[in-house]
Amino acid sequence: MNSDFSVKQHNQGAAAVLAVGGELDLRTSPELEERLTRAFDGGAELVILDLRQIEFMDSTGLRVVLSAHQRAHETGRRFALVRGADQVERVLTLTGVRDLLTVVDAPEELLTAGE
Amino acid sequence: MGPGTGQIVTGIASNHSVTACEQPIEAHQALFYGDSAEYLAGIFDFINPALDRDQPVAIAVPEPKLRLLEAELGDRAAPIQLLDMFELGRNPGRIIPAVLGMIERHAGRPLRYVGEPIWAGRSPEEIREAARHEALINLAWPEADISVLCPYDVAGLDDEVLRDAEHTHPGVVHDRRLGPSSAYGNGAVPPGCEQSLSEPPPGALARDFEIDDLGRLRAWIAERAEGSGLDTDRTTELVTAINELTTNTVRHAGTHPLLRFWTAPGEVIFEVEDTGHIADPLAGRRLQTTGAGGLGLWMVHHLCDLVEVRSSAAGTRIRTHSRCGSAARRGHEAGPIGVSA
Repeated sequence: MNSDFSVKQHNQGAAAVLAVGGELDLRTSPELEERLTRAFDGGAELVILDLRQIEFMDSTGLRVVLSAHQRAHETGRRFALVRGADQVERVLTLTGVRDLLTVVDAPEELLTAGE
Repeated sequence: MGPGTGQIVTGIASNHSVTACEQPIEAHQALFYGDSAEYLAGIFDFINPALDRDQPVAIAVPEPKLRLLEAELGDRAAPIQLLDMFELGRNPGRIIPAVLGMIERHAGRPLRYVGEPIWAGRSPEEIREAARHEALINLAWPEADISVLCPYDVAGLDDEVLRDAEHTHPGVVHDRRLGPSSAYGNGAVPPGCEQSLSEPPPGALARDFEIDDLGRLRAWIAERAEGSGLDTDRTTELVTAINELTTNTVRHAGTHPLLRFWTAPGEVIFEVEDTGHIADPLAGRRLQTTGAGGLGLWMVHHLCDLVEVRSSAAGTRIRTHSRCGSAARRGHEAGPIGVSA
């Protein structure tokens, strides 16, 4: 069930950190996409997607990640992931998407270094 | 000097013989060999011109043959990418992705690739999917500068398999001479590969589903996989893979979808049936990181040991096989091949 899906955002300076929890699949991906779009629309220079509380991610979730990466690239902003559990890592690695992205262990790595 | 350097008959000729689908016979050749001497001669005839010019060469053959080639090649093996086809081609659906990755790495340079995806002792299901792979090679990289040589063991393989090889290769090498195949199918999959899947056994479990069921289905898949002896990692892989199939169905395909599960000796089988039609024969073999689709089937191919797809206007059945128990070996972890930003 996806009832525990959540996206929590906190902003620090020009950075937006979106922490996602639960299962990211066909049902829940649209909500994450919308939240990411809003973060970019809101003018964030750095968007960090924290996947540590994600229990499962499928290819529709991967598409959302890719489209955020694309948006950042096209508009000169930065986008990064916080590493998730094994299943999430496996999906990112298997498809080569991980190689395209900045991946860190914790948001603080980017917030202290970059902001 | 390796064997075969004196006589080069499989090299790129200056005036290509072109088949009906504009595929030069050099682009995809079946090498029919009767013994080790013919095997080595045929392969060296093919790769030596490239090695002499410092052009890239990759070889993916079953592990014992890899050792034979390495022994014969000696120092000349160094620049060659050597791969065990038992691993790479266990699921034949992973080979084209791997070769596309090689093409990308060697972009702008002519690549020679030796691939032996069909060997004596493979199951009929695996041979059908490997023959499909052979047919799809003719469609997979129309613009690329690549020649492919596929050895066939005439002593060990059935006549039907050898006939299919004539169907899937524009060029054939007999007695170290390359000529056009008399039966080339212009890239079409041999009819035998499209025969209907066997009926699921009477004990197979079946569930219908819709979008709200995807999460519950994942839990069900995990229970079935764990109950069949798959370890946690393999179970997670299978949940990830089958969820892609059910998700594709919910996104694209009509009514009355069914997910089935059963076991066979040494393997766990899931099958998704729906009324959709997968029109692209290369679906799941080319990774597109832009656009809406294409990732799901790619993941399924890389997470399952064999994937059988039957799709027509009448509907689609996709059957996955995952080895368990002592038959299970980890999938190759090479993963991200052929992705471009």
